[in-house]
Amino acid sequence: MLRDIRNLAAQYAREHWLRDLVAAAAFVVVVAMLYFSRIEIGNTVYAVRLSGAIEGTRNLCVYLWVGVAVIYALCTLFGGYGDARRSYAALLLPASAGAKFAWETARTLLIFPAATLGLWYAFDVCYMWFVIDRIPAAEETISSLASIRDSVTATREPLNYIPFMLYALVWMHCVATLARSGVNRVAGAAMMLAAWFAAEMWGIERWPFVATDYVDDLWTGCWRSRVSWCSCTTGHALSYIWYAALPIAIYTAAYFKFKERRMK
Amino acid sequence: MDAGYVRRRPVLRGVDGSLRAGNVYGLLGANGSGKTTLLKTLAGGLFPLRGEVEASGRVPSLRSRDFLADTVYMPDEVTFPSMSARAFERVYSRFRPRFSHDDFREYLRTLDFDGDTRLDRLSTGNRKKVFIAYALAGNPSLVLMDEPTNGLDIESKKAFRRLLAGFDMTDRVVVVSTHQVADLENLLTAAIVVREGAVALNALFDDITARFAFGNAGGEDETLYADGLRAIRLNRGGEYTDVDVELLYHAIHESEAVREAIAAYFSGKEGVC
Repeated sequence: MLRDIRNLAAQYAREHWLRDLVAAAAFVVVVAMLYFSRIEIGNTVYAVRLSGAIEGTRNLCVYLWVGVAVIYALCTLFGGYGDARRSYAALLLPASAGAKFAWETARTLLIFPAATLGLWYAFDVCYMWFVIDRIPAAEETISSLASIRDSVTATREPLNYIPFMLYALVWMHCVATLARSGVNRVAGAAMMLAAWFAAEMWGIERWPFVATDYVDDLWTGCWRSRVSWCSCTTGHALSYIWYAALPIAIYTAAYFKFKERRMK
Repeated sequence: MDAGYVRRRPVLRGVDGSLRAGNVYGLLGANGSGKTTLLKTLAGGLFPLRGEVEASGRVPSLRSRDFLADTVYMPDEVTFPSMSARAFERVYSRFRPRFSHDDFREYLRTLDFDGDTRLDRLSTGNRKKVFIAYALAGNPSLVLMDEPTNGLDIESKKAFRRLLAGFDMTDRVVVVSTHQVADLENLLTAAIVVREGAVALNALFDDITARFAFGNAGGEDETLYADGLRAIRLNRGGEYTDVDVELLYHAIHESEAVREAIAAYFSGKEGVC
């Protein structure tokens, strides 16, 4: 299987390196535009304004990063897989179905997001150097800010111990994988909308079925279960099992749907 | 098995037979009769709507690596990624363990293709040449070609015949779908004729000539079909004649007598429908 993945990666890299490079570059250009437009560099620095602008821009770029990764997945996953006109159609390429699925998943969920994250990080470092170079007094402010890593791995309720944006990436990616595995386009689009809606709801309310409330009574805080049939701890555990099982189930469904693809 | 794209409307129904190793099958049929569907199903690109297909103990629709590496399907319309033939060879030969780089280059020379032009910019004929070379250089056991000579010039067709004639057919099956029988007639050793959603004939030429004789039309009583110049009659005397594939094709489509004779003689024989 590893050999198959290596061959698929070499084949993909040879054919689509330019497309992926352009996609990554487009992301960096948009990030740069956000930085230049939102982070003003005057002759003086107002620490609060600068810190707010930098953190706000980084948080916005996290959303952009997830969005770009999901769009990239939607546009490129299993591209031309069953196209009979392609003499080299991936459907009939001598590699196991598992290897093909694993490669496509790794490429769109790990490699491309990691590459764009790395490019963004490099740009951020260069931009902060530039700011500090122009305004040396800003160094202390900038060094005290939450980093890109903090923005990407931030947790919030109800996913208290799971980085919310990383989970959002995995969540949207698994639905995109199912949408591209052979489901018709209308159903695929509906799935993506429903997935985005669910992710928005997770950010606002306490989903999905067993969750807990944090009760802050001024002196202490504690978690209280919203349902009466289990304890807070059990509720928490069930929630995490649910959050882990959802993407796994969707990826599994996508894999079996992928195996049913037919040549057109 | 039934083959097609939609369960309620199979393109081919009741296909029941086998292909014997060591033979080059000509797959003949009218436009839309199901030739491409059959090829895609044998290649694993489509799932049988009913029934099953097996190739040397492997099921094509499972698309195992071993089966895919041992099978090549050449579509009617060949497209390539944007790269040279050399790059294509380097990238895609990795997927075929028995790929011979020497054979690939030799086949390209035989087909008179020599160039570093990007494959996606080639003419239809040149794209086919590259794919034919790639397909045969992979040394697959099952070769499925859909109209391989479409777009080839006269010299290239001759070169293709030479390549196929020199291809080691031991433990191999080649199925070539074609409308231009004359391009390949001397290479074929078996025929599959598709008519009205079913396989009307799947037989080796030896079996066909054991039953039918092909000759000039001459008003004989045993003539089953004649097109004015040539005729098919029952072979009572055990004579050997070359199979006139085009005549046989027309006979199957136009003569009830021929169809009945085929059904009567070939039903129950191993390897035929």
